[in-house]
Amino acid sequence: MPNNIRPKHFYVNKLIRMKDEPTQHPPRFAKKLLKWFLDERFLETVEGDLEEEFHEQIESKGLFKAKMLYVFTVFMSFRPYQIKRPKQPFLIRLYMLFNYFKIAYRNLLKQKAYSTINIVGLTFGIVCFLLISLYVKDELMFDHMHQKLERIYRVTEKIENQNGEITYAKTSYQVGKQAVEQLPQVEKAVQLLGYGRSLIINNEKQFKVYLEMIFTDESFFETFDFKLLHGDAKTCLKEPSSIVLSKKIALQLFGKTNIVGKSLESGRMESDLIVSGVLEDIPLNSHLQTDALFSMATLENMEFFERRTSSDWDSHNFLTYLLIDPKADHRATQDELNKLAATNSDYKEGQRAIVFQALEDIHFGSGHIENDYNFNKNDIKYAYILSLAAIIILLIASFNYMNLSTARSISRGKEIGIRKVVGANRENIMTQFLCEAILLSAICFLLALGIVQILLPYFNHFTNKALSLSLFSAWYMLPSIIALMMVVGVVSGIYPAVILSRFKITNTLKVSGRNLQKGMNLRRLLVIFQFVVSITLTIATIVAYAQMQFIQKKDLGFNKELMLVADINSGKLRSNFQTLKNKLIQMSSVTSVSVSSRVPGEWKLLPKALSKFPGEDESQGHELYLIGADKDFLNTFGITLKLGRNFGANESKDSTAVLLNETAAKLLGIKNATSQKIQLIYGNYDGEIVRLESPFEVEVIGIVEDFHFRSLHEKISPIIITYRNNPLHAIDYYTVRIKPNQNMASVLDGVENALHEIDPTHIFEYHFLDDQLALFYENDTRRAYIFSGSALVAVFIAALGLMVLVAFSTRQKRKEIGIRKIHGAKTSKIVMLLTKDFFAMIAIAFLIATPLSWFLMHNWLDAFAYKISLSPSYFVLASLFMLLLTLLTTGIQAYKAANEKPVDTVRNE
Amino acid sequence: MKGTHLGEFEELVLLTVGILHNEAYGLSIKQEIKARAKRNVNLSAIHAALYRLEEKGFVNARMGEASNKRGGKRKKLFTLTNYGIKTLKDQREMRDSFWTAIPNIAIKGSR
Repeated sequence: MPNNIRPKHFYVNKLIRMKDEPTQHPPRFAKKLLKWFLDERFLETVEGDLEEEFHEQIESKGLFKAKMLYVFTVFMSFRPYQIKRPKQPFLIRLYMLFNYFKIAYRNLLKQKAYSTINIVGLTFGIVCFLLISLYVKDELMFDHMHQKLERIYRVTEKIENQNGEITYAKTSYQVGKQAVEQLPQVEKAVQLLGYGRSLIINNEKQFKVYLEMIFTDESFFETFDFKLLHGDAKTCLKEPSSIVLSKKIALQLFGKTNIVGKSLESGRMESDLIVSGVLEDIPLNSHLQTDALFSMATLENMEFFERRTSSDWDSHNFLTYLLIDPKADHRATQDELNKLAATNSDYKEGQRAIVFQALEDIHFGSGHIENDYNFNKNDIKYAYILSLAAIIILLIASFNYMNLSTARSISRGKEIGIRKVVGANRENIMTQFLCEAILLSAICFLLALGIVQILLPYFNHFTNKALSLSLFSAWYMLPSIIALMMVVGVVSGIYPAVILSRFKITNTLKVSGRNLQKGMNLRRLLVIFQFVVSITLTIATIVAYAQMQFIQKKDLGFNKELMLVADINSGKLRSNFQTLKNKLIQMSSVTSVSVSSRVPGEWKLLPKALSKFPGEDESQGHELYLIGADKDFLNTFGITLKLGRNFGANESKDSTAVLLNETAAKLLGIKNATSQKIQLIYGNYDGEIVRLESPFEVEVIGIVEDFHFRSLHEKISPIIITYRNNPLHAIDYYTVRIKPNQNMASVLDGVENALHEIDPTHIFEYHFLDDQLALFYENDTRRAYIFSGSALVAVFIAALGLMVLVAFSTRQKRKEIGIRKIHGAKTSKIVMLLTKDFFAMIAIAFLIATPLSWFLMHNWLDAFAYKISLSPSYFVLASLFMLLLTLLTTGIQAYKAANEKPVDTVRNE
Repeated sequence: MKGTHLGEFEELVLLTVGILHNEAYGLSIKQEIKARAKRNVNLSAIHAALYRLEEKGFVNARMGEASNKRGGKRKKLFTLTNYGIKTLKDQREMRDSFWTAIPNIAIKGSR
């Protein structure tokens, strides 16, 4: 403003100010705050007193302290007696509240298309949010069913040797036993010993089942809170030959659960087992899962048990949980136990560290631990990503509501104007629009709760969980759902409420298009945000899909299709393997049959063997994975022999021959298979070291090409293939290669009959190798589905919002379009005019989404040792998809608007 | 009317209103209390006490003049009511009666 046109009073004011008015002012926000909450009756005096004190304080204490005191006093003035009271009487306000809901309801009905879109979008968002919340809550509450949760620690061991560092979930018998005997703060030690599988038979009814044998004692029930349906927790695991069955198994074997005292026969025990208890099925969100518990006392006096327990401080075969006194420090206890173990152990100093793992950390904190009876372990990272996704999807849905209601403001302008004319103040209008948003949110929540109930069974199946949503399952459920409903309502309603209530009466009553411009920038931001989320999730979906395809198609170095793998749990089937093989190969549908100790893509423990050259020291040797196999192994699995020869037909001659994979050959420095001698010293069965009485000396007869015998998450490790009858690992599987296009049912029948001819008691257990391999990627597949599910919902919601937004803005610009057309604008120009904004927004969103999704997916792919590279094409593809979607949603409407006859649009004023 | 009980801090404020006579308002009362009783009280506490005293009928209030120092806001000036003066007197008499009832030995003994 140039000087000469300044109004006169400007100078006058300035003069007075120089003379009298103080130059320092109290903090503005505090003053505003005071004005906001203080009742008018008190405002003037309090404000005056505070300001006077402020100026006096400046003189005595300085500006800063004066300001601090002012702010402090403002906060202290927040006292009930002088806080603003609503002006309208309670009853009127209550009535108005009803009125707001009534008007909101009428508005919903009046604008059906608009309401439907709002409701559908928000409901989708809420359903997504609820499902993910249930999932994440369940994940976070893993193992929380135990009351003594905070006092229970699992004893893990970190072992360092020449093969690197390994953490075992199990420890030796003495570590657990001496911990409870010698350390006073250790109240209980639960020790669990796995002993492989056994056939369990109910002779009464001729029902049988395979059970994993897990031995433990009564401390199990004293420490954990697993519920017993029948039997006494104190005694049921005390006596020898006692067995506690899960409800599921009890029903399988007896058809009822009240079976305490019944006897069972075991394929691996001499004496009968007595059922001493029936366990409620263990909840899915427990990391410990078992169907049967055998009493540890059963094993006493057995030779192998003596050997494993008497003075063993070093092996890793007992899963051990300690219950620690609440007053004791678990770190100090851990140190004490380490000292105790060190004095009794053969480990060199620094080689072994006992580490306590808190029970609540087991689910998320076991990624580095091998072999730990913990099949559901997860990474906390995914819980965070999911929570974030849930919140973002809910936000997107709320943004839609915000965008739509502000864009629509023009149609509500008159109503607001009239309300204001008859005396509504800004708060009234804001309350009204908040009520509308809350009503909508309530409707959506009701719908969403219903939909979630319908979807839950499918969702549970997909996530392998037992989630449920009941409003009355816990005291906090209903309040938190209502609170969430209010939050969603307020979040989506507050911005429209602020914008709409700000309208000037004069503007709202005039018909004008300018109202639409209000909040345009924020609306753009929200749309960009929606685009960013949609593009990011689309990229994630594409990348995840590409990686899963890659895994499917990757050449594993062996053929996984049409392979039937039968499990053997019978001595007869082991010893008569040649007869059985002959029987199977005679089946017309079978190409070849192989017996082996393990198969590529193994789902059970894969043992390692320490191998070294003769004359070398043990510490120079290497632990190699080990599979025992026959001569048909290579051709059945389609593994390529690279150098040397396969096992021959002469059995006795080749019983000391071995094959190596390329990685193992490289590790041992073997270039050509020329009958090099190797000694195998011991077998390492998941940390349990079993030494051979004398080294098993073998000759390398061949080298095979690398094949992925473990999941693609891991790099190919060295493996040694020994002959089927080796002292380290007996045969465990028959693998049958089936000819293509066979009737699977008859193939299965044929194989089962062949097995039963040799051992009629055997239960035929089989897997298809490709299904089994897919299990490696179960979690990855699940996550990929979650990515694509969220992407679908996000894109859907965003597209809905976009569609309505364009509809509003084209309607707003009808007249402008008409006039432009009269002046000769082309349709294409007009379409451009209407849509160019959105394309600019997509471009910005793409710039933000690219690094974001790159980071996200890079992280996801890190879990794989073999993976696709993130090529730019994925990003371009996702953006093209978004572009196309935007074209469809906006372009069609814009094109329609551009083709309207100017006569129709310009005629009315 | 709400309770007629006079709290310790309220009594202090009421006495100060008496001392300041015609010049008693929030800030001046605060300063007087600080000078006499060496007590640093937050202004909001004075306001609250004055509000209660007015409710109980111990003081009367009227609006005073405004000044630039006060951001153009007027003061609220307080004076004692007769009821307020009576209550102060009663309070003092009750104290005195307590004092006279204490045997001399007890007071001397504590010295």
